[in-house]
Order: sequence, then C-alpha cells, then structure tokens
Amino acid sequence: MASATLAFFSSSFTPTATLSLKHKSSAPKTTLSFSNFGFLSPHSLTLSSRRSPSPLPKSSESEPSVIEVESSEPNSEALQVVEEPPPELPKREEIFAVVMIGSRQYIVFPGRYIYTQRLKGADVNDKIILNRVLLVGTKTSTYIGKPVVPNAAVHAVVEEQGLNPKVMVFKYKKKKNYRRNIGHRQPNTRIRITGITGYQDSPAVTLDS
Amino acid sequence: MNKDKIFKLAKGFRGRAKNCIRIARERVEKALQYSYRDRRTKKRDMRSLWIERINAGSRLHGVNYNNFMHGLMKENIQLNRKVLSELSMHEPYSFKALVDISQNAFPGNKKAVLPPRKEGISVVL
Repeated sequence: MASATLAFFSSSFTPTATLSLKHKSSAPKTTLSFSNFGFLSPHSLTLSSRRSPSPLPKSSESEPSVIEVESSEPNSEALQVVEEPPPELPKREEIFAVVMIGSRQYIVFPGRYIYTQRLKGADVNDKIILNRVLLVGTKTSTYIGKPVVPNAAVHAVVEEQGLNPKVMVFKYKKKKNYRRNIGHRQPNTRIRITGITGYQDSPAVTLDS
Repeated sequence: MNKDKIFKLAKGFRGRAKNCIRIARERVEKALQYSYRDRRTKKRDMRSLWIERINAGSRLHGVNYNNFMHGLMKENIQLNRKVLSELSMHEPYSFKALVDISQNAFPGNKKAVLPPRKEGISVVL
C-alpha cells in the first residue's frame, strides 16, 4: 500500500516520457494483450513491457559513439569522424490513448508498437486508422469517452504480420494412455502508432496543476 | 530427438529431473499439464489482480471498487479492468477524473472514509 501511495504522489507524465529512452534496450517485449501476459508480472515489468525497442539502432549507436569519443581524445581524426552523441530524439507529443482493437483494449503511445490479433486484409506498410478510442490523455487534460471519444482517431502503420511464440498444448489423462501434444502459434499483427488526432473538441477534464 | 526436446524443456528442474530421462519425462509432462491448466487460471488471476489494484486506487479517493464500477457502468464508460488498473498506477490524474465521474453518477457509499493523509517520512513507512 505504501508503494501505491508513493506512485500516486510522485507519478506524473514527464517521468514516463523520459523513461521511454532508458527502456529502449529492454528485454524482448511481452505485450499487454491477454493471451501473452507475463504471469503475475509486477508493476515495473508491465511498465517496461510496454516500452518497445522501437528505434533500437539509435540507442545502440549512441553508446559506442560516446565510448569512442572518450577513449580517443588525443586522436582528433577519430573525433571528427565519430559524431557527437545524437541529440535527444524529436520531441514526442506527450499523449496517450486507450484504443480497442479486436475486443481488447490497449494503452497506446505514439512511436511505439503493439501486437494485436491478426488483422485480415492488412498488408505491410498499410496506414490504419483506429477509431474506437475510449480515452485520450494529455499532459494537462483527459478526454473520457462515453463510450467512445467522438471524432478521435489513432493513426498507425502495419509493420509485420507474424505469429506469436509457440505454446505447447499438452493433453494428458492418467492411467488411460491418452496423450496429445500439439503446438500452436497464434497469428498476430504488429502495428506502430504514429499519431493521435481528433480529440480536441470533446469534453475534457482539465487539470489545474 | 525426443530426448533432446525433453531435456530442453526440463531446464531448471530440481535434482535428477533435469538429467535423467525417465524422471525428466514425467516431470516435463507434468509441467506441460500445469501450463495448460494455468493458461486458463492466469486469466482469472490477472483479473483479480486488476480488481485489487482498482480497489486500492479508488479507495485513495474515498470510493470503493463496488461503487466505482457501478458509477462507470452507469456512465457507459467501457474501459476494462486491465486498463483501469494501469491508469490507477501510472496516470493518477486521469484516474481521479474517472473517480469523480463515477461519484457524480452514483454517489453510493456516503460513509466512505479517506485514508489519513501521510506527511513527510510517513509516506514511505
């Protein structure tokens, strides 16, 4: 309970936005979706699971460039060749939305990806608009939909149509010599969220802080 | 081939169950049965975890889970428990807005008592 009160008092939007940079190189992402939820994953794990390693090349580039700059100080050539650690990523709008896809709800941030059920008829690099948006939150106000925020749309791009990791479905009845072993991979689609629009006119709950 | 698969699945098991095929085979079969059963119970456990968290989060604002959900249903807000629990943890202002909406829709428990406000070091204790 102490941790719950701590979280209540100390969390605000900016820490989540800056945390996104640190968590870029986190472990392979487990999605928020029902079927793939890490069993009893604690609060911190769900936080990192949502952070996708989206611009992974950028984060790996920044680390070796920093090391090289430090170690090759006398060598001016190397300094000129190696670029400065890249500046902060282009400012993301600090906004999130709760979107419903395939009867599951996801909390969605621009620039990150999510895994959803396989969307039939969507090819790679298709632009998708998700219009069942249940809640939009910005830094200062929250737009709560009853049930949907009117005219809100979440734009996304289909990245990949793949399969979930295999689960072994093993059925066994004791003393009856019955054993069935089946592997199953559920098809999924990875979509990357590009932006959230259209919520400005809806009734909002605004903070005074 | 089958033996290799069994040993791969038996990683981390205790004692001879990770090394000896006769014991490993039994233990792996049991493990697979448990995982089949637990994929179903996981859904139940997760839902009860989310309900606990929503309960805790809304009680900070003086509303218990019961009345909170009733108020949301009355207002036709269709956020599910998973999302509500995430909001209660990470987006406290949005969650407070939801609690206010729910209280307006369904005042409910008038005798609800807010927990005493903790100041200073007692926040951590």
